[in-house]
Amino acid sequence: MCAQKVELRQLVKIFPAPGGTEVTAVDGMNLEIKPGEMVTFLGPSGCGKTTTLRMVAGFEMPTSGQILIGDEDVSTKAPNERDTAMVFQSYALFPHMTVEENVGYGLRFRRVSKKDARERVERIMELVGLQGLGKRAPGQLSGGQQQRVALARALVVEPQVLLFDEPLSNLDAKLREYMREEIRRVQQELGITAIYVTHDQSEAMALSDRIVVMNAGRIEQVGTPQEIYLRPATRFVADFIGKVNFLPCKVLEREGRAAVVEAFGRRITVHDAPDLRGEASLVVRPEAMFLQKEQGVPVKVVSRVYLGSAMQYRVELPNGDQVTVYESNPHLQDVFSAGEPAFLRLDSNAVHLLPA
Amino acid sequence: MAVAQPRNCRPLLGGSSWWQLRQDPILLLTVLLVSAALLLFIVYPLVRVFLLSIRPRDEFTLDVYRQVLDSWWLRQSFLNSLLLGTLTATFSTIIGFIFAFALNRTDMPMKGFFGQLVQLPMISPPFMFTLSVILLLGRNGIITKALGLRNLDIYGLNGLVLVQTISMFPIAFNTLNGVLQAINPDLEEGALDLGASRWAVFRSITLPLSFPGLASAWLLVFVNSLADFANPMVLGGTFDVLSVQAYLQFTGMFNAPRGTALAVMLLLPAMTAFLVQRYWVSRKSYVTVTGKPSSRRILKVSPWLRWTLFATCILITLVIFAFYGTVVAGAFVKTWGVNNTFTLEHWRYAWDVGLDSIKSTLTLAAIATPITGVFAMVVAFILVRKQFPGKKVLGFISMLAFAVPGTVVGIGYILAFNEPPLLLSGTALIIVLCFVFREMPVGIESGVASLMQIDKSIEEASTNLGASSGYTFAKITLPLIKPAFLSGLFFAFARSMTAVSAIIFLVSARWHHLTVLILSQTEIMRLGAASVLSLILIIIVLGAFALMRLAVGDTINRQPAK
Repeated sequence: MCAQKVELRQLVKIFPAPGGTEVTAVDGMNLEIKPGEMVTFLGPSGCGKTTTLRMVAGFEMPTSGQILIGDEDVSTKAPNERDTAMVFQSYALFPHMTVEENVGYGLRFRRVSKKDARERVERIMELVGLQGLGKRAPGQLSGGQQQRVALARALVVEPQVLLFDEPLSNLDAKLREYMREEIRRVQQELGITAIYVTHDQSEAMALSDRIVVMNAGRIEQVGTPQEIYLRPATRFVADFIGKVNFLPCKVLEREGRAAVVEAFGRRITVHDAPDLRGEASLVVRPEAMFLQKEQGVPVKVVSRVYLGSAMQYRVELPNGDQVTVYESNPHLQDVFSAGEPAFLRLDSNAVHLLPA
Repeated sequence: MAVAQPRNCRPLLGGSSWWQLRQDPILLLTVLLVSAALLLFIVYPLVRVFLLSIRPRDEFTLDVYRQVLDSWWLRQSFLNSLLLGTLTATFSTIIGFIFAFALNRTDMPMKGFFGQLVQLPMISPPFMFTLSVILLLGRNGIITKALGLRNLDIYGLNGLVLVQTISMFPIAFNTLNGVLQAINPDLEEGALDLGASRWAVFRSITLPLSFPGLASAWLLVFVNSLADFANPMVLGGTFDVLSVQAYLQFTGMFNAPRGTALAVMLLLPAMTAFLVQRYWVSRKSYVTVTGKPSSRRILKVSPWLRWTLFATCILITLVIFAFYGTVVAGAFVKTWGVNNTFTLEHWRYAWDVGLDSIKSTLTLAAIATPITGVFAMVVAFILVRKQFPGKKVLGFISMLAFAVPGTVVGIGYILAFNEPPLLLSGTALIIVLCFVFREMPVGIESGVASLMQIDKSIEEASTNLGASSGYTFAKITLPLIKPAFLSGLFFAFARSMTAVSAIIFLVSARWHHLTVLILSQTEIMRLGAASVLSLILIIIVLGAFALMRLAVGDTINRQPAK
C-alpha cells in the first residue's frame, strides 16, 4: 500500500435548486492532505463536507477546480476508475452476499488471483476483528459488526485514499467511542491516507491528525485538534467546537506575540494572539475559569447544574454579562449555590483573542 | 402521572389478543362483522364451486374431472392457459423492467410523461386493446390491408400475447418500480467505488437485488393472464383457454359441474402462483418497500444505453397511443376498413343500445365504490393496528380476490346466491357485493402501506386523551390516510367500471354492465359501436381519475408545511 497525498484546488460545486436557482455547496476549497494523514471534515449539516467527500470519490463532478490524488488529476474520472474506497453511513453492505463476498467484492475488479484474494480477505477480517463471521449474511450481524464489514470491504482493496461518510452515526454512544478508536488504530497501522466526514466534534478530535472546519461551503480553519480547540481562527469555529464564552474586551498593547487586554476591569495577557487593536472578544472555555471564595473578579452565581464529572455554573459578571464555568471534579462540600457571591479566576494561558 | 389504568395491564405472555378483544367491544364487533362478510362473500362461493365439481349429483365423485381430463380440447385449454400466462408474464416483466430501470436509473428525458403513461392501460377497459388489434390487424384491419398481409392471423396466441402484454406490463412496472426505488443507491455507489464497472454493478448488485421483484412481477402478471376472460373470449379464435371454456361450459352448454371443474383447474395454478409470490418470493426480498424513497441519486449510464432505453420506451408508448387512437378513429368511421368515411352513426346507435347500460353501470359502481373504500380502510386498520385471534387468516382471505379469477367468482356467486334466504341473482345487490369484495384488496393494500407509515403513538395520544377507538379511527386515522383512501376509492371505481369476467355471470336485463355490452358488440363485429362505448367508458374513468387527483392534491396542500 503506498499512501498518496490528496490535493483539492479551487474546488467548487454548484447544484441546481428547484425554481431555477443555484446552491453553492462547495465554494472554492483549497486543501492539501499529506500521505498517510487522517483528515476530518467537520461542520454543521449543509456545510459542504459530504459533497466534497463525494467529489473525491467521484460521485459528484466538480463544477470547477481540481482534485489530485498523488500527482494525478482525477477530477473527471469515474468512481470505479479512482483508487478510493468509501465507508458509507448506511454501510451499504450488499444484502445478497455473505460477509466474505462483501469484503472480497472490490478485489474482483483488481488483478488479484483467487487465492491471494482469499488470503487478503482473511487478513483484513482478522485486522478488524471479524474472524469466523465470513459465511454470515450482513443481516445476521449486529450494527457494530456491520460497521466492521464496511470498513474491511474498503480496506481490502488497499485504496490510495480511504473515505468515511459519517460511518458511526448509526451506532450507540458506547460503541461509537470504541469504533472510532478502532478506525484510528487500523488507519495508523496501515498508514493509509483518509478523509473522514462528521458533524460530531468529539469524533473529529479523537480521530484526526488535522481537522478541517467547514461552514457554508468554505473552510473556516484547518489545524490539529489542539489548534482548533485552543486557537480557533473564527467565532464560528470557537462556537462550533465545544462550549465557549465570548467576553468583550479592549486591546491595550502588544508585547511581541502576546496582547494585553482589559476585560471586566482587569488586565489580562493573551499569549500568541492575533494582531488586533481596540475592541475585541476574549474567547474563554468554561473549564479555563475557576470559582473561589476569595480573590478574583467578584461575581454572583445565577444557577448551577451537576453533571457528574463537572459542575456547570452560570455566573453574572459585574457588568451584567453572564458566563458559563465548569468546575471539574467538584467536591460537594465546597460548591456554590445559586444566589451566592463568588470570585472568578481566569487561566490566562487558556484564553484566546478574536475580533469583536 | 396518572395511575396506570387496568387496560394497560396486559398479561405478559399469550392471551393478549383475546384480552384486547374483550376489552374493546367495538373492535370485537368489527372483527366479527368483517369475518362474517369475508366468509360469506369470498370463501362460501368458492366452497360452492368446489362442492359442485366433486358432487355433481347427490354423491361425491371425481367423474367430472375424469371427463375433463379425458377430453383433449379441455386438456389443451389448460395447457394453453399456462402457455399464454407464461409468455405474457415473461414479456410483461421484461418491458416492465425496462421502463422501471429507465425511469429510476437514467436521466433520460420525458420520465414524468412515461410514468403517467404506463398507468393508462391499468384504467382502460380490459379488452380495449383487443378491439384495437382487430381494427389494426384483423381481417379488415388497416395494417393488414395496407401491407396486404393475407396470411396474418391475429386471432389466437400471438394476438393474445400482444394484447395482454400491453395491458399487463404496467402491473410488472409498478412492482419493479417500487423495488428499484427501494434499493439504496449507496449499494450501487459502493460497488462502483470499489472498482466495478457500470455493467458489473448492474450484474452483481442491481439485478440480483431486483430478482425477487422480477419473480414477483412475473407471478402477478401470470395470475392476471390466467384470469383474463374478455381478451381470449374475443381474440382467442381456436386457441381455447380455461377461463373462456369454464364460462362456455357453465352458461352456454348448461354443463354446470364441468364449468365448476374447469374453474377449479383455473384456480389451482392462479392460487399457487399467488401463494408463491406472497409467501415465498416476498420473503426472499432484500429490499423492504418502506414507501420512503431513498434519495434519488442517479448513477450516469452510458449515452448508448440511455438512448436505447429511451427508444424502447418511445416504441411502447407509440404502440399504446396507436391502440388508443385506433379506438377513437373507429368510433367515427362508417365501416372500418371498407368504407372509411366520417360518421356519427355509431354514436347514435351506441346511445340507443347503451344509455341504460351506462346509467346502470354508473349507478352500480357509484354505490359500490364508497362501500369498498370504507370497508377496505376498516380492514386495513384492524390488520395493522389491532391484535385479535385469527388475524393472519383474515388478512389472507381479504387478499384472496387477487388470486381468484373473476370467472371462478362469477360461477361461485351464481351457485351461492341463487336460493333463499340468499336469493340475490338478478339484483343490483349481487353485482355491488361482487364489486366490493373483488376490488377491496387494492384499497386494503394501500391502506396497510400508509398506516404502516403513521406512527402508532399518534393514535395512542388520541386514546390517551380520552377518545374511543371508533372516534380515533374517524377523526385521527382516516384523515391521515386520506390519500390512500381516495386512491383506493378511485381504483375501486375504475375497476368496477371496467370489470367483466365475474360480472358477465351476474348481469340481468334490469342491471346491465357496459363492458358486457361492449363485449357482445365486439363479438357481433359491431366494432364502431364497441369503439364508441369503450371511448365513453375511458372518458368516465379518466374523469374520475382527474377528480381523484384534484382531491388528493387538495389534501396534500392543506397539510402544514414542515
